[in-house]
Amino acid sequence: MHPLLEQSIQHTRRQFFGTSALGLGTAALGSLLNQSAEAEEKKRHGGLDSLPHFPPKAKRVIYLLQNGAPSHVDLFDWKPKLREMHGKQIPDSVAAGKRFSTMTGGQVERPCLSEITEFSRHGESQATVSNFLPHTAEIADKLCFIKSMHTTQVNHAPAITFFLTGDERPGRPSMGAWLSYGLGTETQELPAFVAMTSRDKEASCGQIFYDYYWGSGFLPTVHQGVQFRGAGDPVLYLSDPPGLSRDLRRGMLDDLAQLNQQRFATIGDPEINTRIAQYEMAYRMQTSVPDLTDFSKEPKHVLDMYGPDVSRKGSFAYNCLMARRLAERGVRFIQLMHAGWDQHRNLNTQLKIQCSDTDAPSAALVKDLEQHGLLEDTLVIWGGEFGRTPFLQGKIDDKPRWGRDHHPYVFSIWMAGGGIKPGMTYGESDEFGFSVATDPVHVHDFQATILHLLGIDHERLTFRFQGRRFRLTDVHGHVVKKILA
Amino acid sequence: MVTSATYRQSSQAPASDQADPDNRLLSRGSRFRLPSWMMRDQALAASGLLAAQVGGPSVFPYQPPGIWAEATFGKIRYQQGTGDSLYRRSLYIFWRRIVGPTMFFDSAKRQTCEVKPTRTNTPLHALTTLNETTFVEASRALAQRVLKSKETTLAGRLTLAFRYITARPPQSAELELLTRRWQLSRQEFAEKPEQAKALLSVGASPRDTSLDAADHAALAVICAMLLNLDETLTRE
Repeated sequence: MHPLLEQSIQHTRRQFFGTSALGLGTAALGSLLNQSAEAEEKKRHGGLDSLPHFPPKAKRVIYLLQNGAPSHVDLFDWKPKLREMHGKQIPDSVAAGKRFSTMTGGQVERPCLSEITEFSRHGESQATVSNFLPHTAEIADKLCFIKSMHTTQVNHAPAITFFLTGDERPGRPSMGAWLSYGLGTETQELPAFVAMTSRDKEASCGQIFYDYYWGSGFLPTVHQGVQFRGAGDPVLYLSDPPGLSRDLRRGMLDDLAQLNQQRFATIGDPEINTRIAQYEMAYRMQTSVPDLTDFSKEPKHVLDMYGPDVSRKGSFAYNCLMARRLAERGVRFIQLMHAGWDQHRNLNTQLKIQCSDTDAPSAALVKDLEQHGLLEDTLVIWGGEFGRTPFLQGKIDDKPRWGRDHHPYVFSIWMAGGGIKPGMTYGESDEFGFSVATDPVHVHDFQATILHLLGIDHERLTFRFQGRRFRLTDVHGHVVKKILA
Repeated sequence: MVTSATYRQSSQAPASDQADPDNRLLSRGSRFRLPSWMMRDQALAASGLLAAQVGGPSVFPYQPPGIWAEATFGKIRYQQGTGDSLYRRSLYIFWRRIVGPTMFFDSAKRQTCEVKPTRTNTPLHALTTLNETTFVEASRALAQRVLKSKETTLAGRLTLAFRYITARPPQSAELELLTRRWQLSRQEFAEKPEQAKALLSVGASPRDTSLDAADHAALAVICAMLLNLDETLTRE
């Protein structure tokens, strides 16, 4: 090309980019700075153009994952047969040939263990809930109990990974990452996908929280869950360094945006504009997170509903209230994980403590969402990664050390809100609470149903990686239509 | 390959980019954000803090409190290193499998094989390079390095800082903007000396107390900005 011609083209190009730099940059900043909270709420940021596939019933999800596996036969799935057979070997016709964890795999004596709680029926729906969960029992008519869940995994980490990512091995995107990728987010001040963890005060179990539980797998890391921490800054590096005033930070960022815009005028890489916007969002996150974590304006009756632990940062109760506040602000997927349900040898002591730590906050969250008009489009899920054996782990005459082992063949969870039929029970286990009797719900069915509620056909949300298309439900999953409102 | 004309092209988008917007035809040099570990190394190198020692056991740089304890139910606590080990290259940083070094974003999680780096652009990255201790300390150390150089004029100092970070002198518009920001910052720190002191005490390396604190803090603010320039964070 003739050098003169080249120069003139460059010149024109530079002008073009120069103009668009201003245009784009100003537009981006304008939309970030001037939007009111209300106007923003309706706006979606990011996500795939083709989604949702159909009108969604739920806009967001709060998943209260009970890490360690709550005992279905002590809490929800009332089996008089176990009381009748208490201390007697569970029949071979029920348990023979089944695989268990190494902790009871070799145990020859497998006596049935009666529920250690008292069951009664609650609400118009006559749901069976144990007396260890009085607050959950009280809202039974708002909940949909699924008593026919089953999984393929018998150990915690693979089972949790299976629930969250659709595969038992780490490396696939977590459900929240899929939703962030597919549906984008309704807030620019907070991440689309937030994870929070808590554990029982006694730290009775040893399972740790792997960060791939909220990982983005092969999806871009922008979709990975952001862990809100229970101590220090809720978000890492949120606080400005000491001595740097907010005014000075503001000025720095304005200048930085200007310098970066000049760079864009020269280079023309649109990534620069994205960077300008991200720095602006970082500033807004710094402003909005302290407001998010400030419970001082919550009325006393609301705080009381969540129980005394609500004021203790990093507790399950605190995280539940945070979940409502995050939902209000448009966060797409809020994943709470609470550890301590793994009662192998301390069923008689720990289960009650565990229930009292989680019962009131879980029920309060549902009620609080309802009072804020959020329950109708927020899906709440409560459940563990599997159930616990209807037979005893340990010795029947050693009552203080009674326990139950991991049990993948049937267990119970509940769901509420966003498009779920309230006050119903779906599926049944057999008379021992050992296997599914009717309407089995596999983990992939559960995932397909969640995506369906969010307006997504689980077979059509895919991502190409290593030469094939992947999806949350792998090649399985059927929407459980009977629990849809 | 790296000596080829194609690799050595400028990453400035040429006029032909309408025909090749995604650079599939390699009509220009690639342009992408540095990996987060490299950004940290760069900040340490530019500031003069980098400890050049090669090899040896892993090191434990700054980490916000409670990260390991939270991930392990209080069983394992992070013991931060001291001295030179805080300033070694990122390569030497210890990785705990369940929770990697917190200042690295977009890094492979080391749970599955990854053949391609992911590069994203999120507010959390901005928070890291603006607020993480190493970056803040690097900006004050770089400011000190410049203040102790032969440059005595403000323009000379700003130019030197700019060159240390971007390897080019600033254009006049850039210099003008930095000068104004320096003056505003200098004024604020002169009025609130305790703030200057607080900012200058981030990180473990000692500060030369013979330097005027307001001068030093104002220049540290400029250096922090320069460390966050798109041009600095990007390989062009």
